[in-house]
Amino acid sequence: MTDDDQLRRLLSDAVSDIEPQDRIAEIRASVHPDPQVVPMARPRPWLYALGGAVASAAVIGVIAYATDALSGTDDHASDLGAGQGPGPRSSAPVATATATDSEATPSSPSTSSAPVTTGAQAFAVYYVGADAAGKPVLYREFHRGPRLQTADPGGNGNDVLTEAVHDALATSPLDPDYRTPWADLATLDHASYTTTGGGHTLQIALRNTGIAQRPTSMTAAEARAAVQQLVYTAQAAIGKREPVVFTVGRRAHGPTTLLGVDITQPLSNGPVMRTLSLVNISSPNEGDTVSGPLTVTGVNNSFEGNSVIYLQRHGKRYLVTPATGGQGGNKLYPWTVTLDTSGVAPGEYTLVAENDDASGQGHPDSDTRTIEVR
Amino acid sequence: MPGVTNGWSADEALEVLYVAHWRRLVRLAVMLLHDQGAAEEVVQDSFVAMHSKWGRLHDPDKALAYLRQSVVNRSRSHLRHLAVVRRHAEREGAPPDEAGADHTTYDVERRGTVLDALRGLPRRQREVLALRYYLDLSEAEIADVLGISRGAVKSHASRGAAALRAVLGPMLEETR
Repeated sequence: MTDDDQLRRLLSDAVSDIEPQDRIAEIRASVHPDPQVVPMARPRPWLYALGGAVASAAVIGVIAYATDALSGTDDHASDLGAGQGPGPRSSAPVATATATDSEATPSSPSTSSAPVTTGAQAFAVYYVGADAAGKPVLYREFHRGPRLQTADPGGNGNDVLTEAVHDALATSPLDPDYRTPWADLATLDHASYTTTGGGHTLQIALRNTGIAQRPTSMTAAEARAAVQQLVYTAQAAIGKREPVVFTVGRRAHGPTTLLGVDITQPLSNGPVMRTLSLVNISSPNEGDTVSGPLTVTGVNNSFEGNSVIYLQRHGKRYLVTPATGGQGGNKLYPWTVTLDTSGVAPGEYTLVAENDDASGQGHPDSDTRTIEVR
Repeated sequence: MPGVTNGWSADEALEVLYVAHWRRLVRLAVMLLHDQGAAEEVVQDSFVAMHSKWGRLHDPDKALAYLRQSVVNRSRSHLRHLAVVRRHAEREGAPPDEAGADHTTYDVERRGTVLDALRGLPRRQREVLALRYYLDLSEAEIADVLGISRGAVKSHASRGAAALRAVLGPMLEETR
């Protein structure tokens, strides 16, 4: 018997008495959760009934709300929330007619100032993913809420703020390509946006005190991305580039760092071009079921503003469609395209948005969603 | 759910791969984590992730490769998390875990010794050894799973095997 065989035998023997519990039932429940119980985990039932155009309309409606809330802020703000301009940019008459029609409702002032009455508000949550070079960057996806049913007397969007920051910390992203580095590290004590004296304070209070220092296994870049994940999510929730006051633990004089990042001063959002993915799909969501004309919306900052949008299956590309966002500046630019999914066979596809590969290196930035075409 | 037009649907793939690989992948995760409950969690999450990725994988071999990679990556994240929790506990003055007192039989002792020896290795060496000697993967397959070069696989394997032999020497003699 060779040494290798001996090691093989010892290792197999070492776990031979491990008999795992059967978890297929839990796994089945996770991949097909009851939408009443976990409203944001998978496509909503009405999406199955009504199809892709309506799904896009719902998200675009919320995007319009987020963008409205930002008017009058600085020039970075157009990527906040989503920075979508669904109407005039579109070259997609069929689907965007629906989108434009329904955008009016959620973007109207009465709805945006009373988020709890709608029962199903979407909001932006940022997660950590990797860019083409493998660096940690933030991607945004839209979740729906509120699950927290408290009223917001101040009208400052604190319910959405709390829910969004909570999701960024503790809820798995819909897109498995993203992650939250906070999972199990910290929980949210509270998030608030208050007016004090002449100024505003955007605050995130975290509960665990073991997060002052960055774990040795986490790189400094990952730690910065993790903190920026919360900054961007909170700013999107209130619709303003307000610096974030972080506190850690319950004591008055808690740690002065968070994962090694100095929090003695309020933290501003990092530069868009170095912090966010340079291409990001806004709609549809991961797992959506679509049919007919599918409006795909997103943001980019890319060579001459060019991205290409397509469906992929079995290594083949379908419905390859160019999209134009923008280039330059410290911001992301909205794009919209329509793919006529009636032209492909039903089934699961990967929807890909890929920036123009100006370098020719073959590794352009991209974002993907798994969708089902009916 | 409407099936894909060619081959398995995501649901079918999940069922088939679960039956074929659930136990083996949990055992792999036990080698990496030394904790069966956590190992089951990690593999469960990996199956859920594989299901949502099926549209892109669409091939049982690719799905299995994805599962392996996911189990290794999630095990690694879990260990990182444990390190954070442990540092926190130390700062708070929590008592360390008691060593298990139920290791009575010789078999159990031997298995525990092997798992402890694995746990004592640097993370990469442990991953390479588990993939090589337990899953019987080739150097190229291990390189794919871990995202490192074949040369790195070779060097982690030889260093890890040497370290393991040094610790488990008497046992290796016995099995000759």
